[in-house]
Amino acid sequence: MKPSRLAFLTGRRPSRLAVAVFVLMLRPLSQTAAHALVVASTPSANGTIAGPEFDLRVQFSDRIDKKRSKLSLMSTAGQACPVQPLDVESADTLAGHVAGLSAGPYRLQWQVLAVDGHITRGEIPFTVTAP
Amino acid sequence: MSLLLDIYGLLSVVAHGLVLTAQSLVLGGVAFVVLVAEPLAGTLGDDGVRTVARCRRLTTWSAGAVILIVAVNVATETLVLADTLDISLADSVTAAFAFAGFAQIAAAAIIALLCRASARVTRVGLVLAGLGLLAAGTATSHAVAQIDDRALLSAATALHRLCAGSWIGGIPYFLIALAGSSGQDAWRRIGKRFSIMSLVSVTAIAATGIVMSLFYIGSFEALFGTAYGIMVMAKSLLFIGLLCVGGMNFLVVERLRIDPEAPILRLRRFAEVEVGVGITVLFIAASIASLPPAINLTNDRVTLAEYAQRLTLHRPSFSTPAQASLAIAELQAQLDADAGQGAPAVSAYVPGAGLPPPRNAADIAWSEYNHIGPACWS
Repeated sequence: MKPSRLAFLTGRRPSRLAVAVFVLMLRPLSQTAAHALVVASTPSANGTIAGPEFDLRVQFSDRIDKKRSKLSLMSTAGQACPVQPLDVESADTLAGHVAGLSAGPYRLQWQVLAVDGHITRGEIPFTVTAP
Repeated sequence: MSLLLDIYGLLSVVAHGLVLTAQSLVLGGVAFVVLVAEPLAGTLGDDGVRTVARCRRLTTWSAGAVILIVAVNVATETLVLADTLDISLADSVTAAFAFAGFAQIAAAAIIALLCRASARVTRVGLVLAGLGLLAAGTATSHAVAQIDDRALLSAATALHRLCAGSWIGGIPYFLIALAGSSGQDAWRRIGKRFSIMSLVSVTAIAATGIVMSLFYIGSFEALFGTAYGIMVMAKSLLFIGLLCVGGMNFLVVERLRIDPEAPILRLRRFAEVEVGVGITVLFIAASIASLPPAINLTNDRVTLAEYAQRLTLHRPSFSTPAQASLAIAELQAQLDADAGQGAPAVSAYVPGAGLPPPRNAADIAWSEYNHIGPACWS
C-alpha cells in the first residue's frame, strides 16, 4: 500500500501530533461540512442493477471540479473494483463505467470537490444482480 | 486523518469565522479610510492626520491576519485534497479554491503595502485591491457552486460581504476616530459620515440577504426545518438587534447636530456593543457557509409537529436505555447475524469514515440522560 503523504501527521511523536492538531484547528473547510449533496444516482441508493457491466452516474446539488473528484467501487468484502471515468457534459455529474462485476452487494464511494472549495464524500450501497 | 478531520470540524468553522472577521476588518478599514477619515482629515487638523494613520495601521494588521489565515487554510486544504484523492500537489494547488486563496493573499498584501504609503493617490489603489479581496473571497462562497443563477448570487454575496465589512468592519475604525478626535464638532462630522455609510450598508445587507434567502432557502418549511434556515434566522435576529443599536447611535449623532454639547459617551458604548454583536454575526455567517443551502435539503427536514413534540415540557428521564437498543448496536447485531449466514463481516459505523452514524429514538433518550443526569446530580 502506498504510504500517505500525510503519514507524518499520525507519527507517534507528540510534537508532530500537536502540529497536526494546530493545522487542523485552523482549517476552514471541513470534509464533514456536507456541501455537494447527491441529488440522483445510477444505481440508486439501496437499489439493484443488472451486471456485470454498466455505467455509474452520480448527480450532485453543486457544480463540481471533476478533475479533483472521484468515484470508486468496493465490494462489501472490501475489494476495490476499477472504475473507468466517463466524460459527461453536465457540470454537476460524475460518471464512470464498470465491468466484470459478479452478483452481490457493493458500495459506490464518491468524493467531490465543489467549485467553492468544499470537499464532500459519501457512499451509495447497491446490489448487482445477474444479467 | 479522516478521524482528525471529523473531530476538528467544529474548530474549522471557527477558523472560517476568523477569516470573515479579518476580511471584514480590511474592507471596513478601506471604506472608512477612503470615505470618512481621509476626506475629513483636512478639517480635523492634527487629530485627523493621526486618525488616518491609526486607521491605516489597523487595516495593515487586518490584512496581515488575512494573509496568515488564508495561507494556512490553502496549504491545509491542498494537502488534504492531494492525500485523499491520491493526486499530485501540483494538481491540488491549481484548484480554483487555491487560486482564490492566492488572490486573497495578493490583494491583502497590496492593501497592506498601500496603507504604509500615506499619499492620497493610494485611495484608488486601496479601493481596487479591496474589491479584488472581495471578489476572491466570493469565489469560495456558495454562490459560485450553484447550478443556476450564479452571476446574480455572486453579485448578491459580494455586495452583502462588502456592506457587512463597511458597517461591522468599519466600527472599530469609527471608535478609533472618536477616541482620536476632540471636540463635539469633530465627533458630529465623523458620526454623520459613518452614519450615512452604515445606513447605505444596512439597506444593501437587508436587500441582498432577502435575495439570497429566496434562492438558498426558498420556503417556510426549509427556513425552520433545516440547520441552514435556523442559523439564518439567528443571524437575522442579531441583525435586527444591531439595527436597533445603530439606530440609537444615529439618534445620538442627530442630537449632536442640534446640541453640540450633548454627551458622546453613549455613542462609544453603542459602537462597542455593535462590534461584539457584529463579530458574533460573522461567526454565524461562517457556520452558515459550512452548511449546504436549505433548498438542497429536501429530506429529513424537521416538521412543526416535531418541534412541538421536542419543546413540550416533560419530566426528565433518570434511567438510560439499554446499550443494545442504540442504533449502532442494533445495526451491528443485524450485520453480525447476516455475517453468520455467509455475508461479509462489516462494521455498522467506522469512526472517521466521514459518514454520519445511524440514529434512533433510543439514541436521543441516551443523549438526554447523559445531559440531564449529570446536571441533576452535580
